[in-house]
Amino acid sequence: MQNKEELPVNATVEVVTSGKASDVDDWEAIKDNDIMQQQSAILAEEAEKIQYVGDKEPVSSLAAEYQSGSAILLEKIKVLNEQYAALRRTRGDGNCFFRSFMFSYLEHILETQDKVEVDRVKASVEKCRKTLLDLGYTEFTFEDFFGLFIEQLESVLQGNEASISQEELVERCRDQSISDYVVMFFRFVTSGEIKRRSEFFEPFIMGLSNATVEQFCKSSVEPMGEESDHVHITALSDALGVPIRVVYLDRSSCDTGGTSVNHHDFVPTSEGTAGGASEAIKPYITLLYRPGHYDILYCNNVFIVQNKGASFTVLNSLSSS
Amino acid sequence: MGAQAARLNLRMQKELKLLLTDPPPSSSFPHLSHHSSFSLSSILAHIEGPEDTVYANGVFKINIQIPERYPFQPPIVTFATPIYHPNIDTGGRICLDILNLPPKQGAWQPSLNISTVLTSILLLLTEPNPDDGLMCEASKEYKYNRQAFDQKARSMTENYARAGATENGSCSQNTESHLKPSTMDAEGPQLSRLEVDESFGKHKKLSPIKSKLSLASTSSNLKRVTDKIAKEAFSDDLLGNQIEGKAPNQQPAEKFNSYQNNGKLHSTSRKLSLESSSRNQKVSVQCKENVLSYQSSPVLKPKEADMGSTECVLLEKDVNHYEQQSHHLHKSGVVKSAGATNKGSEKICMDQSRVNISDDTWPQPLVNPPSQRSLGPLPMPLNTSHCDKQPQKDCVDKTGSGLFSIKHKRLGLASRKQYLGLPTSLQSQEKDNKENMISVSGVLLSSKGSGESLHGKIVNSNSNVYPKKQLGMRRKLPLEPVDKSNCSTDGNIQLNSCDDNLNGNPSKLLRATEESRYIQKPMQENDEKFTGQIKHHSEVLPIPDSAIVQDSEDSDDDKKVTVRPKLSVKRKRLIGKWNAKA
Repeated sequence: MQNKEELPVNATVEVVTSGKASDVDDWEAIKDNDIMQQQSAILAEEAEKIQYVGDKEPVSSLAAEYQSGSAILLEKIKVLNEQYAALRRTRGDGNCFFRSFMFSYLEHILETQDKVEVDRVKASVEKCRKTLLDLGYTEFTFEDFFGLFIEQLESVLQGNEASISQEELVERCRDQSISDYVVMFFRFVTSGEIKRRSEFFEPFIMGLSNATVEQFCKSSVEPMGEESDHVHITALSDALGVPIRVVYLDRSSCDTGGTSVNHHDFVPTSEGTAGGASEAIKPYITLLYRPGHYDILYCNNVFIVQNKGASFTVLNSLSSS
Repeated sequence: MGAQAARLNLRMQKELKLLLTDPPPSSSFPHLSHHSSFSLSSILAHIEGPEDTVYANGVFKINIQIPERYPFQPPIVTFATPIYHPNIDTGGRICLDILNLPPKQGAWQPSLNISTVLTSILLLLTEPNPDDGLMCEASKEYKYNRQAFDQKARSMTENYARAGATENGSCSQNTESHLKPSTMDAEGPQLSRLEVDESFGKHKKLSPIKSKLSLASTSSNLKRVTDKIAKEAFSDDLLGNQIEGKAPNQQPAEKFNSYQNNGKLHSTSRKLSLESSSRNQKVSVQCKENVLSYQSSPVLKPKEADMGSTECVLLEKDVNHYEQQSHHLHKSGVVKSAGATNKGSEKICMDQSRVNISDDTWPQPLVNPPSQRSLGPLPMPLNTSHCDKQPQKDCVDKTGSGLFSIKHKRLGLASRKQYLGLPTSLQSQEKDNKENMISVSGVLLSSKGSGESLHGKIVNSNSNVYPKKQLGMRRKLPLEPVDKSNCSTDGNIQLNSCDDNLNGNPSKLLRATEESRYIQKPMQENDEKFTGQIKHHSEVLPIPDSAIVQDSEDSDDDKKVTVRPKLSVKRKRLIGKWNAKA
């Protein structure tokens, strides 16, 4: 080996032939597994072009993606642009709903500094923990995830050492080692809720995937990267007592003729919500759904003020950010 | 990442705590303790085969590796103890859904843990899933010939998973794993080949050691030895190593001695091992032949002139001193074999390929037999002696397996290596049949060889075949300019690859084997009985070529490749010719 430099000619031979070598070897060694790996690698590569949580951008920027698409969609984007102040994209890696929810919720807490809400959510999380234990989960397999979420929740509340700014929240949500843990926390919560109320969810699940509740949780809820559906959103919203609005950007058109964007509010069942009904009815988390993907939407200030009655100072800071 | 690592560590501490306080049924963790401070990224588990199964009374070692992104990624779990199971291959890989991530029919989820994984594996032992089999044969047997499956699985368990057997390190177990399948007959050769092949495909780069060991084991396999005998072989190897020292004395060749001395001067463990292998091989091949070969090399191979000359040049460089000599040794050995016996060349090929491997793997601490620990170069002689001995002992088996080998074109490194042994056995078979005039003539030659000049001897003292063969070779060279040029290219490559010390050898060997094949052609004309066997050769031999090429893969991917395509061309042509003749 050490004589390599003495024979530079040889080096060129190697360079020329090495390509061939790997080709041959690769073809011989290729297995189904490798192909699948490559496929998922391609998907992952595609997904990584977008941050886990992107930057804020105007809703109208969506239009660029549909220039050659359906006129209905373009119309709807216009409508959305009027109703919503901004859009924040998330990575389409199958965790987009949970990731969107995470950022949106934590950002909401950061802006409202709603300690009551934090306490309420903590209580809900504690309930979820018990649920999982009752279901037979090994505590150490989920407690780290729970702990990390609580940590994030506390850090967005200002006034203590661990407090973080909005920029830092964005950073954290882009940091895989935090982001994935929180996503996983939500998956645990969702799975636990579905299993706990399996008789309620069973018909939906049967209609969705013809699997048992147990199988569904095992294959479509707990594994990272499995996309979320109505069932997931309902379960998470119920479990944490957090209302979620999902706005649908699809090609469905209204009967009335005028273009409007339909949405669905996931309002937690009273069981999970400690707060009054009025608070629960108007979701402060709004997600934009396009088939197969969720992004975060920001409501217009006016819209929020009218409906939510939150403090003005906070809202001003929001608009400036 | 720091945070993640810390979190992983936290999780692992909890996992270990659970494993120790509440281990899964019939599992134990010999290397774990509450205060273990070493890396938590790898865990060794022992699990007992479930009662009332074919694995009962066995203790299986399982390696559990924790990936960086655990628990988002599943642990990497493999059997270190050979096991005959539809869902566990010879490399120890386990086909179990929870060990894979969901996108590819996996079912891993972070809520699982090592304990649950082990429980699942135990369940898999109790209830194999032949419909999703990793091991084709075992799956079929499990479904349609349960008795045969049970028998094999039991004997595997008996041989390799006994409580005592687990004391051995994983290396030896790997050896055993490859040994295993062919110790049971039925489709023994097939199985072993396929399996070994598979596992090698996977571990090719990872563990050259394994392949090396398995080579040895497979050959011993063919002897139908149990692992006990394999252990004897170990001691044999030791012996061989010791003998090594004496070997030169038995050899009248002064050159050899001088090489050896040089080798000692420059001795490092690697070099020693190299040398020892070559010496060993020679000893086994028969010292006198070696003498012959040294003398004959210039005579027999005019076309090697370029190589030879470079060698001389190289000899002048002190840096390469030893390596060249080892090359020299090998080459002369090769030449000899080309000229005299094919057997020789094949053996050398094997040796050298192994040398390469061992060279690569050398730094790794391996092997368990305490006697070997102290001795650096040992592992190699080990193989050498294995291979040298066996071919002569049990030819029939190998021939059978050799033929089989042809059917599997996509054989991996290991199987190819195995083939290296095959030609040898074929040849020894020929010897047995007394059809192999070459070897006979070689013996004759060698008996007279010491004093006289080689050339004269060949002409004078040999049976007809030998000179003809030689002539044939000479004659052929001019007749086939293309081949010749190929050869010379190979030669150049060899020269170039001198820098890598060992890497050059394979190509050289390639050439040697090629040549040895050429030699057979004229032989054919002489003795019609040969035809059948030569056919075998024509089928079997091509594989050794690639095998040789493959062998050095670890050390030197690139050069081989240049050789390979050419060889295949040659090969085809040769086969075509032979077939035509036959």
